[in-house]
Amino acid sequence: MIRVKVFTPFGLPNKKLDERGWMELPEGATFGKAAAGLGMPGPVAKICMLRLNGEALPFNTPLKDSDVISCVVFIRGG
Amino acid sequence: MVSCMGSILEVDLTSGEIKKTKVPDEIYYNVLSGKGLGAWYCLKNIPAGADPLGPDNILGITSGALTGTGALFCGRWTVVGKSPLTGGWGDSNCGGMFAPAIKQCGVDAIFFRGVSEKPVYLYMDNRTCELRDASAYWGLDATEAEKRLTEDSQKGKKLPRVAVIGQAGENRSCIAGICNDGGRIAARSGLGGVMGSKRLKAVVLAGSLPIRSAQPERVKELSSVMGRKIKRMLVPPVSGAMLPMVGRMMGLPVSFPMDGAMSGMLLKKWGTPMNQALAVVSGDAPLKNWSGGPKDVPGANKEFNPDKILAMETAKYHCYSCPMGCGGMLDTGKVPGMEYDETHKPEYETMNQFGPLLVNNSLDSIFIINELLNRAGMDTISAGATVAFAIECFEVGILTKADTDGLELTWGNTQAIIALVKKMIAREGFGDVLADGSRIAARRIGKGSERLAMQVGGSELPAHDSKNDGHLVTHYAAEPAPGKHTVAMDLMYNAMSLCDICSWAPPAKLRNKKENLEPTETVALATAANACYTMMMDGAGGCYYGEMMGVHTFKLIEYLNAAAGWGRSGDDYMEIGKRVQTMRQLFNVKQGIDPASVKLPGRALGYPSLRSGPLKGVKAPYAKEQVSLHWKVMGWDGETGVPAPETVEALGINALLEMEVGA
Amino acid sequence: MKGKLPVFDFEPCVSCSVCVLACPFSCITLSVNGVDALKNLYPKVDASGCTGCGICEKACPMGAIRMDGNA
Repeated sequence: MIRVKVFTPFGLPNKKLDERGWMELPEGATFGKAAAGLGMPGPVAKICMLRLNGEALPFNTPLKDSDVISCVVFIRGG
Repeated sequence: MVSCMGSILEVDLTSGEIKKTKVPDEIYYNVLSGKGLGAWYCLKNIPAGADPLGPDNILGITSGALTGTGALFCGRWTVVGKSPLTGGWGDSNCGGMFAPAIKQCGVDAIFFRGVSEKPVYLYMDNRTCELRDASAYWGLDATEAEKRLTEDSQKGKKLPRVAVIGQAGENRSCIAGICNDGGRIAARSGLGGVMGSKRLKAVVLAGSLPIRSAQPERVKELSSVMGRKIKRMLVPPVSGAMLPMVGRMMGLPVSFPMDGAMSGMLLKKWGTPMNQALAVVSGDAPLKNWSGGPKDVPGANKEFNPDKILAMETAKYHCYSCPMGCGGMLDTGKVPGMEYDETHKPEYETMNQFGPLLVNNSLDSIFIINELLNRAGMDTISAGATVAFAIECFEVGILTKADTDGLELTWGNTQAIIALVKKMIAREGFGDVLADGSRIAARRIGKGSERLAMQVGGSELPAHDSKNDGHLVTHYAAEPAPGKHTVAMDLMYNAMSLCDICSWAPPAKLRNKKENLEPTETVALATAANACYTMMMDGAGGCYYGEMMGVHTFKLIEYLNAAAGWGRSGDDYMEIGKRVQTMRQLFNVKQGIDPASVKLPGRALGYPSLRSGPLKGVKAPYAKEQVSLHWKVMGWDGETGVPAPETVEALGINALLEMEVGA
Repeated sequence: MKGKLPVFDFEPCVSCSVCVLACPFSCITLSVNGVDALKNLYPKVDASGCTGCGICEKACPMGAIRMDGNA
């Protein structure tokens, strides 16, 4: 099994995630499979601007342990 | 520690003696370098009751444990000492190209004590280390002095790097900073005034010694992955005019965890000025000396559209080892009234403190003021807040034109604001009343004016409203160098995922922002964890924006282990952070600061509350309790803020203070 | 005898100036503009000052430098 860190849109809770936002998946699972498992199949993931390690990678990209799945969100700085 | 030089330079400006001394490795193991090394040295060596502008104060210029190793985002240098602004611990942090130059001269830090009889500068390279006559440079602004010192000092091939004070530091202003690279500045805490009080004009470094790390290939691997990620990060097609709409969303009362790496997008394109367009409507920006809402600053969003600044940018500016490049150089040749053809892109802090905080709707004036203060070496956060104080005093009748040398100090009077800034730099007339910050100015003016000074413990509040980001209610008052937004905030905590490297840091969760204004253990654990982590970043030489990228992008623990050859855990490093925080607090206690007396002004807590805008009616009624809980998590007394003896012992601070530097 | 000059690959380069500060002879400057739309500056070497020591190649965190250029 592998574990990936997930930042859901607006931090909405998701049953697939543990308390710290990690999701367990079988080895070889893809970005798309993770997104679908989170309730964000392809078209929804595109709307949410889902990224893998900060990049708009294809959904068939295989995941590695400790990868990060997140949505584009504007964070300000000071 | 492999990635540190293992030595410091001790300079006695009174006697002229210079010593290079070894630092026991155990010090680095326990406090890293940078701010940690500075905290240890200053706590040990600055006597109680030292006059901040006298010979017993020590000015420290420090580099970081990761600087020069190939780690990205690690080009910050930190200045330390007793602050003339607060009377307690002072530090300020800066980028540019100066930080690695310290280590390239063979030391991790340079500590100056005493006072020189005449203006001097320190010159150092691989072989030479000496104090030189600075009388030819005294009186020059920081940018001009840097240029001349660089030309005059370059004897070999290596280009010297210079840290220098301008007129503000020479005038011993308590809001003066120390400058480098023609407009970068270690601005806060008034440490430029300390440098001026020592008649030390500059530090000129031209060394080329190598900086090592234990596992250089691993450091490079970490950098390569992060650098590639940031380089490939693209900004979605958003124009500056759309940012206020985004700001309105940010003004919603929700706080949630997010991938900090995304912060790179907006910063890569616009730099920090993008925050101005967000902050007026989101509630982040304090307006009209903390008394107004967005309706009080009509036209601000249009005027401060960051696309206008982008259009003037001739090139991006990256600090040393930064892959993101939030800085920039601007062509200001066409700005009316601007004396100079070029300026470093103003930071958001400068823009808000001289813009909407003063109801000043002139972007052009920001460029003028930015360059004036960069050259003078004066902190724009404190200067802006002090001008805001003076304007409100004038508006309510505490001050009249007879007091202000005839200046009509009304909200948004751009010409008066610029004229006043020039007077503050020169300490001329009314400018002399204000040149040491708002708390001292209020003492000089009297007439109940202190209620209008937006400062905490003497340090002016920056451009982030604590009612909007409740963690700032804690940090502005509890941080040993008070009134700083760069230690920690809820936004930062949400972005960093500290729970993934620290067992006691609570996970950030979707919640109402108001929960951050309540004295809960969750909030206290988050504020404490964030502050401790920042101490580690500052010990490493790391940048706030690297920190904000979060632990999954900026892998501080992995970097430190690779550079030092250690195999330490996140919790172990967080203990270093706790140790450094505790040392800084002990410094305050030693210097007679009563932590419980450091309190935010009413407006920062919603007393009175704002009557319009996203923060309408918002109050922070539990500031005292929030600070108290934060102190308890740190292992300090919840009532007094004094570190408990058992905490000091458990952190090994007494043993560290007994260690001496050696030849 | 002079060695090879550094050749900079702008694709992985992140304009971080690590090479600039690493060079003992300060012969690298970040001065090439117009490479990307954001106006990041990229490195250029002053061949007259370069000894081919290769310190820049070793220091670069992004593997963007190769000592391949001819003097």
